[in-house]
Amino acid sequence: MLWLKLLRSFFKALRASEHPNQIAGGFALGFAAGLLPGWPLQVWIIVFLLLLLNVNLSLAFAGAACAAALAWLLDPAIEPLGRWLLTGVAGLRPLWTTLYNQPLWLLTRFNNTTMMGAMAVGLALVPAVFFGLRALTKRYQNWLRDISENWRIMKWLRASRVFGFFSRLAG
Amino acid sequence: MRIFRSSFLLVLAVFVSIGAAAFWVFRNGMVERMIERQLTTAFDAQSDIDDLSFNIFNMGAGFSHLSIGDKDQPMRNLVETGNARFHLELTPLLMRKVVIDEMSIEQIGVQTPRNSNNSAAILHAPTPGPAAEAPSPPPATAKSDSPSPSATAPATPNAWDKLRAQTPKIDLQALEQRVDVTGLVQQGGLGSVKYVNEIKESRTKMFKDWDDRLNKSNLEHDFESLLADIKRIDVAAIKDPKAAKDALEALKSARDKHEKVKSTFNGMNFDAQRDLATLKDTWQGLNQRVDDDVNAVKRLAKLSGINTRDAAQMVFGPAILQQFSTINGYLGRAKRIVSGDPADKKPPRRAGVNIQFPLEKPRPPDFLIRHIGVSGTLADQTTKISGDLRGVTTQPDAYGLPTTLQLRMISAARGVWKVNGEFDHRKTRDLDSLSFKGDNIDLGRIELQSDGNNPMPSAFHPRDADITLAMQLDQGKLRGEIALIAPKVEFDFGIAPAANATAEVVRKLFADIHDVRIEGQVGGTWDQPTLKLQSNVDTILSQRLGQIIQQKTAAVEQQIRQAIDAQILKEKAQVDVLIKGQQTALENRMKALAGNNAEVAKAVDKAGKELEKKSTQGAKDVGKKLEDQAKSKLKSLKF
Repeated sequence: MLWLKLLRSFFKALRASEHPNQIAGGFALGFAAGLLPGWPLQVWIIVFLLLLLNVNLSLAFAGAACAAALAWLLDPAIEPLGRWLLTGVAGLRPLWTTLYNQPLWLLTRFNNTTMMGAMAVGLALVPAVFFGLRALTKRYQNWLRDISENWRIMKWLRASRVFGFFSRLAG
Repeated sequence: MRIFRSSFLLVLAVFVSIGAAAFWVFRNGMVERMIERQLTTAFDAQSDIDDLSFNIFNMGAGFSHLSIGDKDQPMRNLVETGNARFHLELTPLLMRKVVIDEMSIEQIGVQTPRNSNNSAAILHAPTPGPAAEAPSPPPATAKSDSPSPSATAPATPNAWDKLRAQTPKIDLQALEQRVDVTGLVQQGGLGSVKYVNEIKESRTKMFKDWDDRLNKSNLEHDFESLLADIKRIDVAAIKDPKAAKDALEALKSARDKHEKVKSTFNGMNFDAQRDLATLKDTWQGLNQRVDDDVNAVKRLAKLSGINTRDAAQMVFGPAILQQFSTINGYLGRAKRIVSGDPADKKPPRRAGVNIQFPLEKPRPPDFLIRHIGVSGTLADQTTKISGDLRGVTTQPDAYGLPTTLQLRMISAARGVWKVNGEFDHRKTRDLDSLSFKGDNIDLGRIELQSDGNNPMPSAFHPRDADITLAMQLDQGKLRGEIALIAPKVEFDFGIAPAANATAEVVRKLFADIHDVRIEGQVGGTWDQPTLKLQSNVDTILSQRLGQIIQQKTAAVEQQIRQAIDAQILKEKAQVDVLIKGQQTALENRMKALAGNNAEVAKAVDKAGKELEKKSTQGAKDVGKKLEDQAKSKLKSLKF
């Protein structure tokens, strides 16, 4: 029932007339954090940014959940990608060696194959997610708001007991 | 749209909350409990830590009390400490590595008794009685002070017990007590008695077989039949050539038949003589079996297998093994604790692999305490302990140096002990060694192998002794050495000298022994240790023990032999009579057959000769008759 929760967060943000940057930024930051395994330094930085920046926190959680699920599914591809970046690209080795010898960078766990793969995927996907979602929100915000308020299925969803249960659960 | 949240204070509050939560976690003992759980898991025994503190500003930490239980002895602590202070290094912490440069521990104690509430005794109210005494770490001290061998032997608790059981034993008590020879003889199921019975059965069977064979052969009947056949040849009644021819045929038939019967008889006679000859060797193996029985009964009486050549091994072996076993136990524990061999586990999904890159300077291991300084007073309040433990780490290869231990224990009563240990678990080597050295020390009472009623000494007490005890485990191979030089030695005895004569002799035997020097080597493997022991008391002890044992053994052996003889002599005599009777019967029967055979042969010869004579005479008569007829014809032809 996670999708119901996500949908609810999304439409709630639309109804609140939040700025597309807030919506897309929250989701993209959450997406970036969710892709990364564990709690390395960069996740704490993202958490700090989420708290500092005026972005939608609900969508950040939604983005993190989506990204975590995606990363789990794509792990067989992400891990080899990270391994290739760390060991297969000769030009990057001096950079990794330099970073490896600086303790602070080790907090990012960049030398872990899954972490490196996830960071690479994140760097590629997060801007696309941010700009894509922002464009979609700008273009369809009014239309989506109408949908959320008038469409029968959305009314049915809002009226359903399951939706009510998860609404209560989400506060 | 504003870029930053209007309520940035909220962000601040969140971080303050996190800090407060961390403070609360440290304050309320959650970390204490977590560490206790980790230690309990690691050592497989109840572990407690009190008053854990942590200063985030200077990375200082400490605790007021730590006790780690001994899984082999639940009522004792493996180690117990008082106050401890240490500092975590910040830079390695950023690399998720715990490195402690200096750690000081006060009031360290080993093998301390645990209170009922699982807290240690030495730092709280001391428990009265022997259990409250802290065991002295030196391994060669009293047995009661050291952990039991079964408790300390780590990998193979029975290996040392087995080795101890294999050391020669002097069971003078068995010699001293009245040996129930009759009972032992009956209990043993004597081989010599069985042998007599077997002889009886085999001989009875042999004679029965002969009876059957003779009866089936019909030799007697055959001989009688032959005689009758020969008697039927009436030479005098032969009147014509046809009758002579018939008589010759009958005689030839009788001869052929006799040849066959004689051949059968000769074969049987040969076999009979051969079997009868074996009767001479009937009792040949009996003496050997009686000797075997005597030895077997001696074994039952625990009188044999006493090797007096290595008296030191017999007297001191078990006690020395006890000490080796103890130090081996410490070695095993140290090996378990410092061993940094992480188990290979398949990484879970999304765990990835950490790629290593060249380092500009060596990186510390995941966990390292570079130096632990320990100090304190043991529970007996007279032994002061101080020392250093260096290089405690979970990754010996990353650290690059072995873990080393130096301890010094000074006791007014027991002298000075130095303990040195080195535990090298780098991949290039797997070497653990631990040594104890004591100078001019009182070793206390060392238990010997005794059951309390044995006239042998139950303990010895070396004074002003120099002792070196070392154990090394190198790639699975065990090497241990002990050297003990004691100018003064006192022996304790389990029973009073007046109890019996042997006790008196044994007491005198050990009375004037001093300047004892014992050297022992343990070898083999962790699972199968071996022991060699030499002592300067070997010669004197072995000679004196040999005399005692020889006297006692000779007397008991004679007693056993008499009992065995008494049991088998009667049986043997009966079998002899039986064999003699059967032998005579068989011999008589064979003689009779031989007589029959001779008689038949004689009759055949006689009949043959008579027939020959008759045939010669007949031929002469016929010739004369023909001559007369011819002469008569010639006369008639004269003109």
